[in-house]
Amino acid sequence: MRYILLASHGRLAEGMLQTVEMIMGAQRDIWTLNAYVEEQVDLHSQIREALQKLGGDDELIVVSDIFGGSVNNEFMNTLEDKRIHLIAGMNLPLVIELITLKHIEMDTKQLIQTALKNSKASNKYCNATVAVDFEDEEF
Amino acid sequence: MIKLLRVDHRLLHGQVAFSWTNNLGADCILIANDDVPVNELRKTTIKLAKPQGVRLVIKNIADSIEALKSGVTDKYKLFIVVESVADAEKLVSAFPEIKHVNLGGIKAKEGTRNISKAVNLQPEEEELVKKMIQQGVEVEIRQVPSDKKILAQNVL
Repeated sequence: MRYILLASHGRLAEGMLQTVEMIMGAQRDIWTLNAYVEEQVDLHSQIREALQKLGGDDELIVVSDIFGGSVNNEFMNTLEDKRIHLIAGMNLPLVIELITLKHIEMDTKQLIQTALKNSKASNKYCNATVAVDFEDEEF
Repeated sequence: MIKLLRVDHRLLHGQVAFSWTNNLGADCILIANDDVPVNELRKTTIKLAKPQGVRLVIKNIADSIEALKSGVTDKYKLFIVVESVADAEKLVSAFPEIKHVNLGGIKAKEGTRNISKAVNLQPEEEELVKKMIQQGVEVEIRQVPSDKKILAQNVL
């Protein structure tokens, strides 16, 4: 199985999942990790707990909120485990692309490359976008 | 081939564009609406929501019916989106090959009744839905393809 783990400082991860489910319906294979929300829970054990759920043939695509942040840094230490793929820079188009492609693209490296490329194209300065004239399409 | 006709007051937006087009395997989307073809900003916004690799055609209701009847759409796996039950019924009556109608989002207005999540119908609209069902059309309510299908006849 391939799972996606959304990981963030605070509640971005669970909010992201809620938004994704509004758009794409209920999701089964997506986990969330909200770091530093409870004083007693430390990030290290949250990560260990998540990895324990992973079977030997499973793969985990971790999407962290920001490159260089402590959440991403902590996951960097797990990369010796070849089941884990880490992407920094969580955003809605990226997560939607990952979920959509997960059903189509079986090669996880390729899946991630394609999802990153496609989602980057949807970060736009819209004022400039509407100024472009689109041609009408016909049947 | 008509894959589905969806009623959604927002017409084409992320939810419709991504999940439905993928799920239906549609290769062409028809936006049938009398305002969009003459409303430049609305038209641009809809064009921007178009998924890659899919043709997007925008026509008013009369031209949509004419195109459907002419046969030019036959070669496509077509996904039609309209904004109201009234528009859906016009297309269904004029073009009986439309066998599946999905009620996606119809916002509450004066005199509407909430028949299911995100679907609010006026009494006249309920009558139009019943008319479509009598014509042998499957009318169902779902926001996204993975939601459980609710048949309109069970909630009217």
